[in-house]
Amino acid sequence: MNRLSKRERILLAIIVGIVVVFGNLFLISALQKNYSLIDASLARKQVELKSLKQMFVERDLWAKRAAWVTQKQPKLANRDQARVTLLDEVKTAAKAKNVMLENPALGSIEAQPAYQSVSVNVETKSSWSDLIGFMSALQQPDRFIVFETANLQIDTSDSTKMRGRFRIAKWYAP
Amino acid sequence: MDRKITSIATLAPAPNAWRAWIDTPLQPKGADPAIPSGRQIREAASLAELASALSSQTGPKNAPPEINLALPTRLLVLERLTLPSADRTELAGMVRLQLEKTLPYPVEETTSGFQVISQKETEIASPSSTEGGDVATAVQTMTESTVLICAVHNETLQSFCAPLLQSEQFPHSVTPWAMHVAAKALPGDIACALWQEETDVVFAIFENGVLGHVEILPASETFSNDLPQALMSAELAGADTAFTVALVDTALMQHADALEKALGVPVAELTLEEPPSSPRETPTDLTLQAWRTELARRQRMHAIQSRLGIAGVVYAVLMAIACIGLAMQNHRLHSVEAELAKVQPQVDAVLGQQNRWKELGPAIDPSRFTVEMLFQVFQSLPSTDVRITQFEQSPNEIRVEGEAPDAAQAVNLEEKLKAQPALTGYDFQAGNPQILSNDHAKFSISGKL
Repeated sequence: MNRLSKRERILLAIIVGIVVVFGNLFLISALQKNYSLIDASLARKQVELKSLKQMFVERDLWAKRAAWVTQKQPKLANRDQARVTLLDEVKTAAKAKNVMLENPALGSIEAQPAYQSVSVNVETKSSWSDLIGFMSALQQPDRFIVFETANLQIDTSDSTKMRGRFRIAKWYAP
Repeated sequence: MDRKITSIATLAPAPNAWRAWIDTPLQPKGADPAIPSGRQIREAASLAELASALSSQTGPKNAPPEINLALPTRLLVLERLTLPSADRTELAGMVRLQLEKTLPYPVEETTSGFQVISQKETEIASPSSTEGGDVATAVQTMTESTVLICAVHNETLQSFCAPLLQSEQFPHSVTPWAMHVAAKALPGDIACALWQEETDVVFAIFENGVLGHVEILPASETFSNDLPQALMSAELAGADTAFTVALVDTALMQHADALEKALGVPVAELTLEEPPSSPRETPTDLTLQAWRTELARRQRMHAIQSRLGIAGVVYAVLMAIACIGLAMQNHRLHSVEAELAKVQPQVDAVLGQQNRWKELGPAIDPSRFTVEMLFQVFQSLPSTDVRITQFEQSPNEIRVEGEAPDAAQAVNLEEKLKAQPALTGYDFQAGNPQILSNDHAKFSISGKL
């Protein structure tokens, strides 16, 4: 191969220099881009991990609550009898608090992921304080009784009385 | 740094051959064992063959050896002169003038130098006039230098060194071989010497270890017959011919008896198998300027290459560090992802328990009981004049209707409901209060979880 002239050598050096410079720019840019992506992803995952760990710290509290629910939530043994039993409980509470029940009726049974709802529908007529006592007596944390709907208004015929329409349900374990 | 470990090859004419002494410095530990340290000797029939052998020889770092060329006498123009100065700069000027007169070609086409053989002080008488008009003679002392001028025709030298130049082995120094041989004579002695350079027999006179005269004898078995003429020529040139010893090359020792008879002094063997030690006077360097320029250019290139190499290594190290950093970051990401995957099922279980609790909230959380909702609503009443006429509640929504003495109190109720800490989960919306005929405001506020 013939030796290159000085001019050819300079041109070759310039071309090689340009290739090296651009090659390196490309390489450095790729490295930087990759590093930024990994860095951002790492920061995101670390925040996620931190929040999960924070949640994980409270696992004992939630385990205790889950155990309490499992222990206390009533089991549905007889679907038809359950509604009758609930209506009896409502009647007993109403009698105890001087609340007059009107149009008592058995409701439906609905299944949800966390519970099975067994309900009854009732209308009431009572004084304001008796109504509050009736509602307080029925709804206690370990009884799993819920006022799924409640509509209260002043009795149009006697403004000292309150009229209420309720769908009262007991949430059994699923 | 590289120069310290480059091999040095000294090339000199030998009897019917050329010889090279290649000195390689001691190799550091771990160096290529194929490259020996110390001295190697190579011989070839001609300079061309020797140049070819040297071009394939590589020293440390695969560099060819540095060439120091000793020139045979036949290429040189030598002249002994006595000049009236001791200053080397002045002597150089005088030498140049002399060469312009005596050389058969222009001085610009030659490379030259000189060696000082001896210096002595002489007294010269110079006339001077006195006050009375008489002429007196003053005695002045001045130093005279006896020098040996050495010149070579550039074209001849280039042609001679062509085998080296073709393989790009530019000599670092070009010196007369005879000036190296002078180191074999003892200091203080006047000695003559005879040795063979290729096919030539060289006769030289060494004065106090410095070359004083040299000439080539006709190459024949009877060269000793030409010695008287050579001695006469030396005397005419001003060389001291009162020898104490005659040094004769090993290759010419078969003529020792004839030489002893012709010269009338004892003969001693001159061994040139090993290169002579450093002579008293540094041999004249006849390296062409073009070669010096080329060597300087190569050294610059070598320095640039070295720096580029170092820069390349530094760059490679930085890139390696960057890649290692990237790999470490990637490893950290994978570790976090693995930990996430490990924690996720347990967290999912906790989330399931939370969701179940929230779904059962209306049954087990007293803050969401209907009585509690009523209590919060009545707590929010801005005054006893505001009356609730209807309250509706479902698990995820409450709605309150009523009458207020004026619209401001109705709006105030909405604001208070929104501000109740126990009702923060509800999003309350209210339409514009409806103004009744008695100027009371009828309102309806609903809140959704």
